[in-house]
Amino acid sequence: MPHQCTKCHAIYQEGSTVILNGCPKCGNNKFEYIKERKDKVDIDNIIQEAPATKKRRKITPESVESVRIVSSGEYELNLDSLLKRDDIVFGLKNEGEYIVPLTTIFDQHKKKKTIEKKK
Amino acid sequence: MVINLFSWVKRLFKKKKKAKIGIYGPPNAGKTTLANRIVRDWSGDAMGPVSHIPHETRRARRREDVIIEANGTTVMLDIIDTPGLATKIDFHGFMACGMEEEEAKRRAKEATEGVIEAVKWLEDLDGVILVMDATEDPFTQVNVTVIGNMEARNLPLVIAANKIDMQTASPARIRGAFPQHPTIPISALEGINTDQLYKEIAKRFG
Repeated sequence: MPHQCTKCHAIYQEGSTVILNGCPKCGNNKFEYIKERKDKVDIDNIIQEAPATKKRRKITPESVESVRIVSSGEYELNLDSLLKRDDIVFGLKNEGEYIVPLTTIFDQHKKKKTIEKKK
Repeated sequence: MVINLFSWVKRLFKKKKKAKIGIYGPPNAGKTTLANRIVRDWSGDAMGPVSHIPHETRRARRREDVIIEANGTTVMLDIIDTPGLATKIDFHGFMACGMEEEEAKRRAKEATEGVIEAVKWLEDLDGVILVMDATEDPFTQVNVTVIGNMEARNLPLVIAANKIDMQTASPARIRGAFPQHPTIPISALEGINTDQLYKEIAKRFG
């Protein structure tokens, strides 16, 4: 871990011998370990990863939503979920945004209960 | 003699067996063309309009009491022609077919609702005719998901490998993909081999 002067905050590489005689900038002889900053590397990574993060995750059979509304007139359907589940969950464009039509679900349960009672 | 008379009387008063059959499949596989063919062949009527633009059928249509006679069996069917099952509906596709943006978006919305309606009908069915376009690759997410779900529901299934009037059709590819289900090569448009399909319908759903 790099060393940082507690007075002038100058940063010196780990194992740097120049600090043995105190901080070359201010003469202070107190240093603390700091976490390595990888600004440059991070920026490179971000640039490389940027197109990937922009890419929207596609709906899969494992997705919680049964229908995803990508935009007006553009929809993705999770047939597996539609076929297996009674209720429908709408996913919006952004990941993690959902609409659960509670009225429809409650109506379905009401209908089921009425049918069960009739039986 | 008495026994013969008894069975004759029994047959006379016996109710015809009735089965509710859904016609399912991806968009543009020829579901409505097949529904029209069946209804026309057995009741002289039509079921609904067809089009080359996908998702022409966006509401399920039902025709009751279609009587089919094949293999010496009479079967009474309620036929439900369903909207095409799809995993993605994009209005841009409709615009490419010459539609205005507003109309294309409305069609996309209705088609999405149609898929949900088609799935809801499954609860109420006794069997399914799954229509596949024999000119296309049968290993699609729609076909695999639908067949898997029908099997889980124990719903009798007949696959109609449609469009065999087209040169590039390969019903054998469909049969090879889903060998566990009867596959009947047909052309709903031209009426080719539909007799074979009626025999299978009578056998499976009768």
